[in-house]
Parts: sequence; C-alpha cells; structure tokens
Amino acid sequence: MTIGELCKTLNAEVEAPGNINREISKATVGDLLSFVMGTAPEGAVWITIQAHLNVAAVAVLKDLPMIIIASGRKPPHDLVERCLKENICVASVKDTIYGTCIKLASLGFGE
Amino acid sequence: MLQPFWVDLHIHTVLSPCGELEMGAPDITAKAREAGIDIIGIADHNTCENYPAIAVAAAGNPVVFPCIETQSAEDIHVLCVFPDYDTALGYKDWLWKKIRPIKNDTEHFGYQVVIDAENNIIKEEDILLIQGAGYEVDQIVAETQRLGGLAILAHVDRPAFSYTAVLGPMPKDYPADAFELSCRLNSDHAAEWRERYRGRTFIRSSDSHTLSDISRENCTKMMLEEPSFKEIKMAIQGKNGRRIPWPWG
Repeated sequence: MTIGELCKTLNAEVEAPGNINREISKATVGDLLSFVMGTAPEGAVWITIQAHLNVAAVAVLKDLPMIIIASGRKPPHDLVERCLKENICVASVKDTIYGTCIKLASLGFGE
Repeated sequence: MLQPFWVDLHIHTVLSPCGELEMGAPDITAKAREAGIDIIGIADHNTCENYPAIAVAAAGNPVVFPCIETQSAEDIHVLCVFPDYDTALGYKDWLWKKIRPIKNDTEHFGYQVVIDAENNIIKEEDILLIQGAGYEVDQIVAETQRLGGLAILAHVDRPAFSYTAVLGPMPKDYPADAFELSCRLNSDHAAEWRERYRGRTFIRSSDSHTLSDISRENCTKMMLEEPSFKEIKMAIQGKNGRRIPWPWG
C-alpha cells in the first residue's frame, strides 16, 4: 500500500507527509538508533518511540521513507522540520509499538 | 603547590560531522588561549586523528590531550581521555574492530576531515563517525581504564546519547571515573545531580562544536600541581589533595 493509505488505515496523526504515493510493504522496529542503522531494510516503515532529531538522520541513511512514533509520543519540532525537508513521512499513533505491529502484520507487511 | 587550572576535555573539531568548519587547529587553540583555558581534550566521535594537528598548533599552550567520544552499542556517549596519542590510537584500533563500514553522507551529515596544524586537509574520513560501535558501554569503560585512560560518562543530563537516557540511573558503584554534565545546565539542576550522586566526581565540559562555545564558564577548574594527565587523574579520583571544586560556583 502507499504511505498515504497506511497513514489513514492506522489513524495516524501526520506531522510531515513525505512521499504519500510511495509504495511500502516492509516494517522495522527499534529505539536504539545504532541498531536500526545496522539492521533496518531499505524502504521500510520504521516504528519507534524514539523522537529525536537523529531519527531523521538514520531514516535518510537507510532510505526509510516513513517513521511512526508510537504510544502517543509526539515528534519534536526539529524532527518534523527535518522530515519535511528530506521528504520523509513522520506520523504519530496512539497505539503502542506492539499494537502497531499487529496492525501492520494484518496488512501483510513483512520484515 | 596546587594551582587552579581551567580544563575543557570535550572539544570537537572539523573531523566530527557535526563540528563547524571553523573548528580548525589554530582556531581552537587561539580561542582556548584567549578564553584562558589551560588544558583541552580533543574529543571527536569515535576517533582521535585530529589530535596531532591541535597539539602541534597549541605548542604546549594550552596543553592538549587525545580523547575519543565513543558511542556505544546502546548509543551512550563515553568521553574517553588518554594520557598520550599512542594509547588513544591503540584504543581506536580496538574500537574500530566493531565500527560498521557505513559511509558518511556529506550532504546530510557534513564533512569529516583530518587536518594538519595549518588546517590543510590531510584526508577525508569516509566512514560515518556518528554511529554506535559494537561494544556495550561497560566494555568501553573497562577497555579505556585497562589502557590507563579515564572513562567519563558524557553529558549524563541530556535526553539523548547519555547513560541515563538509555539505561536509566547510573548504579552507585558504576565504574566510570567521572560524570560529565552539560555546560548549559543551570546551577540548581546541576546541584540536584550532585545530590543524587553523592561522592561522585562531576566535570563540566563545553562539548564545543563552534568556537563561541569555548569559554571558562563552560569548563572545569581543577586544583593541580601541573597540567599533566597524572595530575588530572588524581584530581578526578580526589587523591593526594588534588581536587575538582564544584564547577557551578
């Protein structure tokens, strides 16, 4: 599905839209930036509770077009600004990381 | 006889992708002299290769020590201070066994350049320096100390890249030599840290990424006999009368 469709399906609050027409089918999870930097597959949606500016840097590096900030956390202003600039979607959801993963799995997302 | 020395062990150079291009060798040393700082530590991320340039440019004023701001597997920053460049390089060799070969993207992160004392570029580091190495924080502290260096938990008050942000409060008997607090912390909050971790040594550092960050207000006064590594180590450990007055006045 596209990033735009995924945002709607998850009831996500979109802070930066990114490339809403880009197709996305893989997901990765992690709050340690170094771990994600080392393990995330390119093109995946990244679910995390880590809301720090450097999240955008890791997303750029690994070509992750979408970041979901879980558990109702809100991305800080500088992270949103950077995502707008880099054309990365950043959205926050009320669900936990686990809850978000359940939804993504039911939508057919893989690793 | 003990005298006060002004010490800032945490200064970045143009080798750190986040360091401004003004952070060259003669520039840093001139600013440190102007600010009346006696001892500086050159602490780039996961490397120390700009130490020689700064040390030559300083020519003993200020005294310069090679440091490495190591990023652990848990994304915790540890300020590793070494007595000499050979020891720092030995540590770097160990560290780089577990640095991933991720290339720096200069467009997004900035340049990482090794310079000489006149700011001529010797080489560009193409491996991204702001990444977590494959060692845990405990291993980094242990290896630094095994080599005779000082392991200081960096900016423990910060919400990112600090021990507390990732792993929670530091255990009472945590073997780090000292805790560093950010220079921008106000004196009330700094006092809370001192209260919370009684008996620990705290230092204040500038974590300079621009020249304007280098100032006496942003560093630590130490009572030493001379500006040597041995004396700093004694001050941090509170031995033989050497000491660190509380850096928030």
